[in-house]
Amino acid sequence: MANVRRIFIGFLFFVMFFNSKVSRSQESWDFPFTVIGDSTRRDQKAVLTGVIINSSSKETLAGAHLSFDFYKYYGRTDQYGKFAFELPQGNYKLTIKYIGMKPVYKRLKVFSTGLLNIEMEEGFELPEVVVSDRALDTNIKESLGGLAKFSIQEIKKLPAFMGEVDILKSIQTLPGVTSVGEGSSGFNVRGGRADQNLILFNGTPIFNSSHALGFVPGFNQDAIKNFSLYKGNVPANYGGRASSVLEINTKSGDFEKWQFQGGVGLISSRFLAEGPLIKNKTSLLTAFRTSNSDWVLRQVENPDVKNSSFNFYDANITLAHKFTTASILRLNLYSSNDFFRFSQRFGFEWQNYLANVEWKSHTDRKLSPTLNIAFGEYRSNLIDPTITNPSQLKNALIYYNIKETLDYVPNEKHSIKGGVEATAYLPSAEELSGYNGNKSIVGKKVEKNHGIESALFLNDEYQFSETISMTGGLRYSVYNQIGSANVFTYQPNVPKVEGSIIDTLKYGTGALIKTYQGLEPRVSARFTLSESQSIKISYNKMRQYIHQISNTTAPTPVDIWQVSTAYLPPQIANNYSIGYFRNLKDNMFETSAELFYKSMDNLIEYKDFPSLYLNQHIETELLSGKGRAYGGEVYIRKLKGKWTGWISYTYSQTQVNVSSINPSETINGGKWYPSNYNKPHNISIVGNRRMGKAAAFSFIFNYTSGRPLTAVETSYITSGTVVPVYSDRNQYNIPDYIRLDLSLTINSVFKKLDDSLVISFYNFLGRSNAYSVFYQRPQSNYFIPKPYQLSVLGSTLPSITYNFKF
Amino acid sequence: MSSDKIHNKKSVRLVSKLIEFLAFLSLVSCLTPIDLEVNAKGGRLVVSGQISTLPDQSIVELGLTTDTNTLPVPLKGASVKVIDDQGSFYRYFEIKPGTYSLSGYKGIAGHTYYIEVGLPSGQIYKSIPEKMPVPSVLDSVTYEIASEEVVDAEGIAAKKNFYKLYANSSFESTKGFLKWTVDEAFLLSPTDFPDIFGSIPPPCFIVQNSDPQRIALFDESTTSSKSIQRILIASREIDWTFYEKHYFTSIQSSITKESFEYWRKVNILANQVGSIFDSPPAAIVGNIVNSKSSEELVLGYFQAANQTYKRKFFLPNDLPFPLLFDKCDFVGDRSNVTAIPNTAAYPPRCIDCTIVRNSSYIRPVWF
Repeated sequence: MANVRRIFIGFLFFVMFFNSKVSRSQESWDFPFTVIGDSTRRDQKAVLTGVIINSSSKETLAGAHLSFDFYKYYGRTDQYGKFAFELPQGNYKLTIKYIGMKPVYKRLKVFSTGLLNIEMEEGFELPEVVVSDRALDTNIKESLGGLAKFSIQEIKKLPAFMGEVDILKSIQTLPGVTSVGEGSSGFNVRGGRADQNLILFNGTPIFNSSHALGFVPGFNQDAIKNFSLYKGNVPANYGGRASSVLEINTKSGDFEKWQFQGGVGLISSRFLAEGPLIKNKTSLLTAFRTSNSDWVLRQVENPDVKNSSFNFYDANITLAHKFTTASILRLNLYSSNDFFRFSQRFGFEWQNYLANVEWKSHTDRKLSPTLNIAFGEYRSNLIDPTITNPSQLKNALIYYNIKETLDYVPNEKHSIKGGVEATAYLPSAEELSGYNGNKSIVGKKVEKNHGIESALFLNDEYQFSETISMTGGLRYSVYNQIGSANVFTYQPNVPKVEGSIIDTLKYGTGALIKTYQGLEPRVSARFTLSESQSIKISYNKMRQYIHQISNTTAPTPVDIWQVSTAYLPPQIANNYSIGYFRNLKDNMFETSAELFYKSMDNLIEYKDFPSLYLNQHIETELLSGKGRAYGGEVYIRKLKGKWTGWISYTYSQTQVNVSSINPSETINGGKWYPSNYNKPHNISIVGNRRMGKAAAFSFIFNYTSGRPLTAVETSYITSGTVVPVYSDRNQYNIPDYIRLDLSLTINSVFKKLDDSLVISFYNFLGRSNAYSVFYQRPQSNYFIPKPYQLSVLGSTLPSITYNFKF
Repeated sequence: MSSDKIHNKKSVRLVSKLIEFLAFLSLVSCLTPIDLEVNAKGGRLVVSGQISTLPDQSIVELGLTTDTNTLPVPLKGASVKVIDDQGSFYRYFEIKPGTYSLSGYKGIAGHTYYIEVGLPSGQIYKSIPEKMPVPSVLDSVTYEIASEEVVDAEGIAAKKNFYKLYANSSFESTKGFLKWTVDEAFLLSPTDFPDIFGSIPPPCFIVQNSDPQRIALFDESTTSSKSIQRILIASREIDWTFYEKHYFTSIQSSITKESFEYWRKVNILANQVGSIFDSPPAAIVGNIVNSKSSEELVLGYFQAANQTYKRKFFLPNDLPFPLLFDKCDFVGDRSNVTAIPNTAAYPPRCIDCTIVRNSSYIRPVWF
């Protein structure tokens, strides 16, 4: 293995440093002028308006950056891809950039008010010059702190586990974003819990975003258009979660011609078709991905694994119709299914179904309404196929969401976004039943609580001057728990247990049980110190009315989603951050240093050994606590040159406090203790090196502190059984984590085909990182359990994926 | 105990097994021992035992945890007595260091019992009273010999033979809680080297739990049937101990809901694998309290168990295959009594059978 590595490294060095066919783009401005307005007129001021669209999909591009004469005048397109600039008459060099699109350069001769519509092609500017496909000083000029936007093309360049391009793993290379470990489907943003991240898929919340228990991403990479992570300031039009928002958008189908693409990998294969049903009017995109993973398991000699199975699929359909150029309707359908069985011992099944209709229109440049109506369903099934009493436990969360947003842009310095949103959470009853025809089991149904969350929001972004801009937002959210439900009354001042129930109140269907409401202010300000320096501060208050009941370190597919009740108040987070942003060497380097503090109320914690399934009084197993997270982030990104990439470092502490007058409802004696995912040090280094058009090389290096562990401090024997005695919660740590991934993309494998071959090496150093630490008894029963470190990926994991497009 | 509890127990077990799959998922997993420095908590009292409806099964063990990360040391010289709801008390007598036994009295269904432990230091500890449950019937115990692949701590897989015992039980109309344990007793005859006196070394009898880390529990309310079949209650690796007569005593205990809950938690900890899908582990609080300081964490549990049992023995001839382990039989010329015994050629247990843990020269009365 060492020889193979040496050969591979040698090959990479050879390719990188002796490849003479490295192309470079030249930003030459010697192309002809585009004339704006009437050349016979000589207006002092001209208003230039227009729309920027994707040349293939014909979708408008919101947030595209326009710069005249190298940022003498600059701005962004609005939600509908429109822009308007008031310019003195004259000649201009216009640069337009947008994530995932080739930049557009134009020379303009502006005489008077006129129109300029621009189409942008998908792809990148030659990366040796600029890898970023946005304005180079966005981080300085953007008023929102802690906002990360990526196109799927950027993520495709990074090394991937088993060749699967993964959005969630990619964002974990950013400062302030971590997860509890490999195989975890959730992620943690600035000390927030995994369920505190709102994941929007085409504007619709999704409750499980991965396949294969978190090892494989839940979305087809070919269908993804872009994604944004709001980890600092979250605009008021987003709500319902206490920590962050990850917004993932899929593409619309091409309005002009049919295209096909796909890929074949070790774990899954995928195919996408897109094209016009009515040219330039109606388009269809269909994407399908399915696993081909059982063969991997059959290579294992262990009979349990050989007889195991995991398979999944996901499918996307997007139907887009343009009633007019200013009115677009999109229907998005998404379905995913996972089946996982470990021998004849146990199994999981889970499914996502999402459907949403989005209607965007804009009557004039200033006002643009958007209506989104969505339906979602998340189902899970925990299967116990044991011989004596096989059973299955089913859960389902059904939800409806409607959101109307109005964008009002009085001028290029001022934009207002307001609207109303409502989400109804209507989970089905949790149901235990026999499995495989077992009729002897005593079936059980536990009705789940229902709730409706609604909100009014207003967000106002205003640029006071070149140096100061501010975004102020206000969200007023109201949550109503509704029947039917049985609400238990507990004896006061004693621990909530089944035995302390003194009364039961029965509520009929739709009856109002409990209301929570409150304001959620959002403020962010940017102070520009110079062309290359700015300071940003932000404050957010966020309320969360639905909670993932998960008494495990990482979320599992069978976790229950529980709405707020009289005994489960909403989680409330106050997020503060301040950052200094500076670009160096003509925007070649983008740097930032940010500090953050987060306080959290009503965090859900768990009593020792809780019974969370089929529990009609789940509050007897839960505790309410406080949380705090604080830390600092440093980010250095290189945007130009042969090598591009970034280095991020985060120091953070995330702690929980659960105290009560009742000792049995107190954790660790009421002292602050580290959360399950507390990893104080987190370093990521990401590098990209494109070798002309022929190939690209990239790597990710990641170091994190070991996560907390509750360790065995002593043991005793009872009836011959060794019983470990554990420490207070999370008082120790597992070993630190270090991983290096490499990836090599070879383009145009077959001539005349738009294809690529991606070879990647996950955990190239072959390091045995601690996935977990567990205790195993020695052969003799008379010795105490000893700690062992389990490394899921104890050696290098190579993979190869072939991608094609035609 | 409702069905949610038993299902939760199952669920926790299932989720904890997830790691086994994850460990193999990539084909490249590995397991290595690590040094994890912990602050061992010494000096905690451990009280574990029961009052039983069977003779000789009412045993209490006392110990103190150590701060050197080893098993507790036996606590000698304590005063132990069980007190019933009539106020009558019965003493447990120390039969070996830290082990106390009740003789002359058996628990009675429907009576309530608690234990009182007086330490030499003067501290008094009491258990929360438990009502002796009504018994369920242990209809039969069946066995099978199975070959299974076992993966050891280093990840090395090997096929091994196991002797498996299954319980078949029926219930009364009152749904209760069951726990099974299987004790084994076997003979170990040391190597009979020739000597001028023709003496035969005495055999040892080893009595112990045959599958101590298995905690077989069942909540009768989870089934609508009045019986349960083929509950696996022990799986014993077939090794050299099967060279001679080998007894298995399967004991079925009807226990209280609280005791069941305690064992459910022990079972969760016994199945903890430390994965990110595990529930956070915690110290188990039993039912023993210091009468003067309720804050003190006392480890262990004292239960009232209505017990019934089945016993059967197993002979080497019952095995469908020959045993290929080192034997203690003398190999050589028995007439050469002057030769120095070549003890190095035999396993240590064949030279001194008392080195085997739980061995003694005391033959159980039923052996």
